[in-house]
Amino acid sequence: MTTTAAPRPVSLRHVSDPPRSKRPRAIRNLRITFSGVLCCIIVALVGLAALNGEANLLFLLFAISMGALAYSMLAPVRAVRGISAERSVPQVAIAGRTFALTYTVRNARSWFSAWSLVVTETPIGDEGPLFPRGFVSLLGPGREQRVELTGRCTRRGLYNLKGIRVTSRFPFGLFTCWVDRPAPCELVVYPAMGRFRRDPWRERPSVHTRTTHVLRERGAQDEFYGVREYREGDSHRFIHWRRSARTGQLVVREMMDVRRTQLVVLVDPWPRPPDTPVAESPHPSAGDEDEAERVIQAAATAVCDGLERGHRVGMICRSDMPIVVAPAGGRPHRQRLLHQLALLEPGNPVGLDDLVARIRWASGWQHTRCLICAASLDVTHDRLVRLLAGRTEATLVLSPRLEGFDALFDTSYRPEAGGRTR
Amino acid sequence: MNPRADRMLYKAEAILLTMVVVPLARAELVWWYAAILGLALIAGWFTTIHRRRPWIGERAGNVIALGALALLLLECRWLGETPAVMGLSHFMILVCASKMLQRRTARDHAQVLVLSLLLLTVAAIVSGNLWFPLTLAIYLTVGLGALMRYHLYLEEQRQRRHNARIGGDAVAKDEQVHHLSVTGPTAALAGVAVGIGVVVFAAFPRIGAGMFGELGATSRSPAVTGFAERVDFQSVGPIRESNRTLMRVRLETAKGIPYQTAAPLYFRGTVVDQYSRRTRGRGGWAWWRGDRGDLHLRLIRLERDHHGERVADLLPDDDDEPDPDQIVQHYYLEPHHEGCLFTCYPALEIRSHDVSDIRKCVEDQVLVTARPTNEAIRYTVSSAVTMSPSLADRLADERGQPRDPPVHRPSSRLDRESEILELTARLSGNLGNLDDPTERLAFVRRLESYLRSDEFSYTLNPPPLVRGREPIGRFLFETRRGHCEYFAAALAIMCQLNNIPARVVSGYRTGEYNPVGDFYLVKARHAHAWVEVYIPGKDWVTFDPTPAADESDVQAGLWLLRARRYFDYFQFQWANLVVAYDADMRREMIESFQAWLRRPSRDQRTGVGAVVAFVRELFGWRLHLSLRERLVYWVFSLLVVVLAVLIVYIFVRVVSWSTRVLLDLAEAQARQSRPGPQVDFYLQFLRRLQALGIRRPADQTPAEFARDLAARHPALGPASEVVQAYYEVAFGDHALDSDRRRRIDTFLARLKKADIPAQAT
Repeated sequence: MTTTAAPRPVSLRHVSDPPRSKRPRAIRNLRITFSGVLCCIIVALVGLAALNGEANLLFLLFAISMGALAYSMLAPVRAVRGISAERSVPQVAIAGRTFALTYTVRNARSWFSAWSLVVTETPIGDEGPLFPRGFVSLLGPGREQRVELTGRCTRRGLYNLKGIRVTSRFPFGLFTCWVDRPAPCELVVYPAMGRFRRDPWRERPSVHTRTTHVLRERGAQDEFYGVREYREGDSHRFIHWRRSARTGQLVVREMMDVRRTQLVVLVDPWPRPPDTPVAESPHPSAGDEDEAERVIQAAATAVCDGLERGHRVGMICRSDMPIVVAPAGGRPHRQRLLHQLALLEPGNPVGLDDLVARIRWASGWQHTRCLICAASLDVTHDRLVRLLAGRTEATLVLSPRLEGFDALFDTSYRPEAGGRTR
Repeated sequence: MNPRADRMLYKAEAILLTMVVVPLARAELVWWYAAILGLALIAGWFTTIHRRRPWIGERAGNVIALGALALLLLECRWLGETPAVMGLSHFMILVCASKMLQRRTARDHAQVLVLSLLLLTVAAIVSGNLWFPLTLAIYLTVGLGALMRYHLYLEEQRQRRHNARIGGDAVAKDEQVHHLSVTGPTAALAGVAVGIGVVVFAAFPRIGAGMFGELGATSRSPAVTGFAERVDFQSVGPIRESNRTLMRVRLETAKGIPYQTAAPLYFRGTVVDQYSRRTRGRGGWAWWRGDRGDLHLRLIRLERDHHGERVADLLPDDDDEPDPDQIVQHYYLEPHHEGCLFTCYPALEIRSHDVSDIRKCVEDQVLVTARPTNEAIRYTVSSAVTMSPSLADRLADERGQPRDPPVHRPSSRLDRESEILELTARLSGNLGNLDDPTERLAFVRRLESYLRSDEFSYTLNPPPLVRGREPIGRFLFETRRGHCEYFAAALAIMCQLNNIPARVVSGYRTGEYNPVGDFYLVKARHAHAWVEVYIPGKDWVTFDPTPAADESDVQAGLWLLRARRYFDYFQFQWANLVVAYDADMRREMIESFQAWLRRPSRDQRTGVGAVVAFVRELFGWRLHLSLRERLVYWVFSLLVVVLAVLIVYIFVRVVSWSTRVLLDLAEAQARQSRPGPQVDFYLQFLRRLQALGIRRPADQTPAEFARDLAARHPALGPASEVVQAYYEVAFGDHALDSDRRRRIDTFLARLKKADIPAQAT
């Protein structure tokens, strides 16, 4: 797997309070760019040469350059004055996938056009995400223009959008002036979605061995669910030969359990050194963060996969605030689960085994499959597996540190690119 | 890079480089680099831009740049003849030429634009003619427009790169910024830049009066110049006429009236009087300034008078009244690196902002600056039109005793001296005593007439000299063809051989009179040599033995001549007002501006004058007023100020409000006149459903509502068609056909009559 230097998600603790002033005002800033500094130096040198030589044409050139510089400083200020912008952004997005972001830029002035406007989000701190920038080359007086962009957030989390920044560097890019229009908004970015390269529940290895998958299944009352393309590892029994002959590629039947099985995803994203007491959990390192993100990504994929297969899906997470979501189905439940996964924060007051031991589902643990998504496996997970072995129908442990994780789970799957992996 | 943007930028760069390279070439009189750049521009257009196949690659471009750098070092470090700034311009021109032949990125375009700006700076240094403001105007229009478009293009690409880097991309279409018209902002920028530039230029404090003028006057032109210290016949070959402008002279009478004369004017430069062989008798023949060791050089310092001008008398003061025949000559002299100042004979007074001290050769009455004039200078000289006896006495007094100057005969005997003497004797006829002023004058007139006769002809391509033979004798008796130096030298020798003091003077003759600006334009082709002969009682008298040459201006078309005169006039104004702008001009301008500002306040009949008078009254000019009366003044003035501010505020608000209202009205009218989508049937549909008690929920789109309606009330099935038609009309800009409209109207009519089955409602 590749790790990308993506911006870190905004912590929930940084969700800003409502603005103190009742009427937020736009803040205008004017800065000189590097090109502007160079240009000023060149103009100053011309001025010095004029002073030294007393050459009038150099004086004239220097004076006109001063005029051009003055205009370059005033023009971007004029360009952003009277410009208002509105944003249309979805409430939720999925990490790694594009989402539509639309700005409506309006020139409220009656006489002057605005040139070279760049519309983007007001930056959220130094490590905030990068949002796309819209460019409006010319906006006439009283006109408005819609700028449709596609954004992409690489990390899950809650992004507190402060406002819209309208920037102009017209006419030569020597000075830049921007105005921040307050437009507070929240964007929840769900964890990135991968895919399972094959059905994780079809393998049946031994029960208590700490391998990639531990599967125990009672009965097999499957029903035809649909067909899909053949993947490596699929049993030849399920190949749909007639369809394969017609389409020219191998197609397998996909079966589903007619019973409405429950799937409980147990998420333990942040690893803990083995000798650390349960109550003490150090702050995760950057490497741990990456592993945790992969675990959360696998959990989110499992949640969506389970719901798509018609299971009732529940979730138990070990995080700063323990999350327990009872199994249920439907689109709102899916969003609820993904929302919880999006907002997971490190912290470990209670071990996952203790948490599970205290849970009493109304529907019980029968006909329940458990998927344990953990960054690293320790004694608590052994206890957890033993605890669940007697209650549940099947238990699967998925961890990036175990062999076969990449063979089962594809984290770089991009549905927008026609299903290709990066 | 986008081909259209590339083409647009190429055009702009080609125009800018062409405009900027011309003044450089004109200043240097070297057109090679301009030709190379021109060829590169043409070749680049057909290869790099038109066919998209660049002529040279990046590596070859780097090699050319290195070669240009080597040439720069060679020119500046080892050759030493080219000024460093011109060497730098050669380097930049070659780099630009190589860039034009390559496929260029945005960075290369930026480099070319920056280099063209630097070339403009070089042009400002070396070019003092009217081409520079033309170039500047092109830069302020074409250049700034191209830069703006270039910025827009770069800005768009920058955002695209950013969006691509973070994983998203702009959905909107390509902005096609190169199609945008940037005329408005370009005009605004040029206006602001010129406005601020003029103010800063005019108000910037100046210490001295430095100016550069044109660099090209330093180059070795093959044309005749008037600045040689000697006339060397061996080194003078065929002469090419040059149209380079050397100076502009405005002539005025003492009362400031423009002066124009039909008689030729001679602007004296240098004087030579000794004709001899060079290098101990083995070289060619040349004219020298004889008796150099005895020359009386007088140092003249220009002192500031009560007007702040630098003035010096060139002749000792005379207690008598000033000569009424004086003419005042205002010279604008381009740099010529010789140091002599041209004057009409005899010069009486000099004024200059640019020169602080000069040297005057008393014997020759020529002026020389302390250092060679590497930059343009202005000076004003007063001269007498006619030589009065008193003036001749003053000149003689300045020279001292003996009054008659010595005769500088040739140092060695001429080959054909006897023939020359025979010729002069034959021409003198009955004239006996040449010491008599009248006889001497008549004698010289006869010699002059002889040389101007048809026996001699003027040419710039005289027959080649024969090595070892004296050229003047050959000219007088064999070739009889030559230019002004031959004629002047012949006349001077004929006089000197007859013991008459004579000398050859180099300088310029008259020039072209420009009636638009009332000035004489003196060019290099007006360089001339003539003779001055000493006539007792009249001092040195000018004789011009050279036959008249054809005047090319007469042959030029009238409109062309007029256009050229206007161009010269603007050039003269540019040189005087901009290139020669100095601290004194700045002071005068500020003083005149202050006077202009104060002018209305002095006249109480004007509004401004009345207000100023009132304010003066108010602030204590009338100190005899009592405190109570002053208090009334203050309160009243305060009320007036408040009222004025209030009126201005109300006026601005009313104008702003009325403008906004008018704009809104215009917008509303435009909106009404604009044909909008005809969706009245849909609104009618909603109203009639509302009458039936059915409302569209706010969270449902029209299509969802229609589907829901059809599912719940099968009798309302046509609602889907209504909504579909609404979508097509409102958002698809389609029109309903008649059948569809009829069906919808029927359905709406049924809805109105509630002709719907009961289960529907």
